[in-house]
Formats: sequence, C-alpha cells, structure tokens
Amino acid sequence: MAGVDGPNGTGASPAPDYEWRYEYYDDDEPVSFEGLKAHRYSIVIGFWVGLAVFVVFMFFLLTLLTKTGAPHPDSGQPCEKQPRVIGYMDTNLNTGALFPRPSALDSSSSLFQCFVSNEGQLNSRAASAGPAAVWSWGDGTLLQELAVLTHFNLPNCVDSEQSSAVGEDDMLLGEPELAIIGEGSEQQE
Amino acid sequence: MNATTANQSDCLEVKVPVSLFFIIGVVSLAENLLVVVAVIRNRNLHSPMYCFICSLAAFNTIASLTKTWENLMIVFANVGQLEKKGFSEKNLDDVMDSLLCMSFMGSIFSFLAIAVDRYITIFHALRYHNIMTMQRTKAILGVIWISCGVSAVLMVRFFDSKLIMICFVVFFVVSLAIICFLYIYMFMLARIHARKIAALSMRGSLTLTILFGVFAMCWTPFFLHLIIIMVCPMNPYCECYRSLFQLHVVLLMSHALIDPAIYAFRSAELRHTFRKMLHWSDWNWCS
Repeated sequence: MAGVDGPNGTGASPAPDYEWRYEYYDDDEPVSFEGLKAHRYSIVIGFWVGLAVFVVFMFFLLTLLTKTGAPHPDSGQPCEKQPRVIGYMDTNLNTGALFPRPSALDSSSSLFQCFVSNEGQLNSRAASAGPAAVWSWGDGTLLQELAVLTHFNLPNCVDSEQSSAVGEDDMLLGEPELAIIGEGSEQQE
Repeated sequence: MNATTANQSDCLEVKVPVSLFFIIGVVSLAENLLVVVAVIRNRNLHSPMYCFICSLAAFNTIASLTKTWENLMIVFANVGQLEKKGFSEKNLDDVMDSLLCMSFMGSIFSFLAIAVDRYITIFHALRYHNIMTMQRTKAILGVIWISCGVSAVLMVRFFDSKLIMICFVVFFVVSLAIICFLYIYMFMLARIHARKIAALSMRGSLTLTILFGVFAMCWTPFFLHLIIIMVCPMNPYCECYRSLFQLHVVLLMSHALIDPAIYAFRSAELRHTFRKMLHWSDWNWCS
C-alpha cells in the first residue's frame, strides 16, 4: 500500500519498492544497529509469543468456563407458542437416537418446539444432545435451533427458514451432526 | 521501511517470492469466487447469514484480484516494461491501494456483521426474522460497501496524515474487541447447560479459538506494522519488525484463503451447491 515516494529515494535497494514506501520514513538518517542490548528481532519474537500465549490462554479460558459454569443469562421472553419438547438427533453422541431419521418423518409435521423458561424442567436428552449443535454455524436453521437447545431463559419458537439441507459440518474436526427438525423446514440430511 | 543501504542495516527486508503471492492470490480468488457464485445461484442461500458470508467472500475476491494484479505490475516493473514513477502507474497504484483498503475494511465489517447476526440468532431467536429481514440485510450490506469504498478512497488520498492511520488502527482494534466479546459471550451462555460433556466443550473451545486465532494471527502483524511506522520509525528494533513486511502481507492474503474454510465451507448446503456447480461445468465441457 501507499506508493508515495520518500525523499531522494532509498539508495541501492534492488527491491521493487514503489508500493512499500512511506513518505514520513526519513531515509536520510540511517538506522544504527550499534550497541543493541537485546536481540534485534525481539519485537517480532515478543509479538508472536504474546499472540500465541493469548490464543492458548483464550482456549483454556473457554474450556475452563465450561467446567466451572458461566453466568446466567437474564433475558426472558414469554413464549408465544405452546411449549413442546424439542427433538434432536446427533449421530456422534452416544445418547441414542431420540427420533427416527428424518427421512422417516413426515416432513410436513413440524416438530419445532420450545422450552419453557424454567430451568428445572430441562429435557435431559436434549440437554445432552443440545450443545453439540452450538458450533454448527453454517446453517441459519441450525442457529435458530441452537438458541433453543442451549436452554436459555427465553424459549425460542423460531420459524426456521426454508432451507433444503440442514446437516452441518460441526467443527473443523469434521464431525457431521444432524440438525433439529425445524418448523416449516425441510430435512434432507 | 526499506533500509537506506544494505550495508548499514542488519535487518534486511525479507523478500517473499512473487510466485508465492501469485499462488495464494489465485487460489483464494478461485475459492471466494466460488462462494459468491454459489450463494447467488442457490435460492436456498438467500438468507441474511449467507448474504454476509457472500459479502465477505466478495471482499476477499477483490483483495485477491487486486493483489494478484499488483504482483503482475511489480513483475512488469522489474522486467522494465513499466515505469515505476510514471503518472499513470502512480494513479493505478492509488486505485489498487484503495481497492485493497476497501476490501480490508470490508472484510472486517463482514466479520462484525456475521458475529452480530449469530448473536441475534441466539439471543433474539424469537424475533430474528423481524429483526433481520432481507431488506435490512441489503441495507446493511449497502452501507458497508459504500462506507468502505468512500473510506478507502479518502484514506489513500490523505495517507500522509497520521490521523488516517490512527483511525484505521483504532477501527481494527475496536472491531477485534467487539468480535471477541460477542463470540465469547455467545459461547459462555451456550455452555451453561453443557458442563458435563467435556468432549463437546473441547470442540466448542477449539472452534472458537481457531476462528478468532486465525483472524488475530493474520491481521494483527500488519496492523502492528502500521502502529510501528507511526510510533517508532527510527528505532532499530522497530526496523527489524518492519523488514518482515512482505511476510505480514502474505499472512493477510492467506486469511482470504482460509476464510471460506472457516465460514462458508462448513455449510452442507453450500458444499452441495459447489458439487452441483462443478459437476454441471464438467458436464458442459464434456458435451
């Protein structure tokens, strides 16, 4: 970026430098490398070490959060529809299939349901299967459903959008998960 | 940021071969173009979330195209076909810088939009379709594209002013902080009832770390470079950091390469559309 020329050019540099020069870099005074106390690439090393530490720290923080629990969400919204039980299927969890495979279901029947905003009544099957879908970001239907699966105080009876395929590649680890059956959406995985 | 002469600086600029730039540019161009075409062609993907992903891919396409074109011009300039200080070359260089700046800012805005969209999906799922209608999505995308275009032109025009650079860096840091906060908040609340399942929590943490880590790793070196230019142009340590500029640009470009894998290719619908498109094109060539 910034193809502005410096004063008097930069000398005998063979590099194609017309993009990488900045006007306010004073080329007349050479930078002296005499008497450096630390290693000359110390900023580079420090930066990358700091970034790596930050990323690792974030990873452990996130993992720890799941073990110690996280603060409660306090948003509550009245459910506008009849509360029903969600059905969720995750082929990777050993929780057993909660429902038959989507192909066996009547696609016109909507099974999309919401939890009542009462944590004591968590559906344990869905609880064990729910968070599996949390990081399947790719599909809008799934995102709406995960809001229900994560058992917030707000029951989410969202009309999922019309999308033809719902199966998601959950993680970069590539374990596919089957999504919930959404109201009005087609299941094809 | 180049050394005055090779003799006086111990930190020579690290050169990256032009072919590496070309390869990264072409591959990321192909990937992102594929994503854009797939989202446009498949009606099922005309939803706010995919619109933002498509916008991200479009910005990455522009960035890859511009960078590849710039590399071509560098090659021609080295060979002697182009005059480095010519008037039209400078104008062309300004245009390319504006496009690059626009696509950088647009990428960051698109990440922000994707994070906000996911946030609304989770926390306001009941009203999601009222909050995030297609008209609003188009308006948001229009605002993003226009503001990025205008800011990019202004930035390149007034690049000498330090204020512009400061704004650019502040914009990046604020966006990074907002994205970080949104994702961690979503993650924390999504994990509330999943304490027992260690395997899932590991995967969730891993995904989020990768998402954010790749973003930080690819973008931060370049922005630190901008900060260092403003803060300590004459310091030898800073000069050694600046000598790695081309590597940092390679990192920036490789983010355009990695983005589709993180955002777009994880959707089965999108992958399905790719397969259909590629088979269709094969069939067309054969017939």
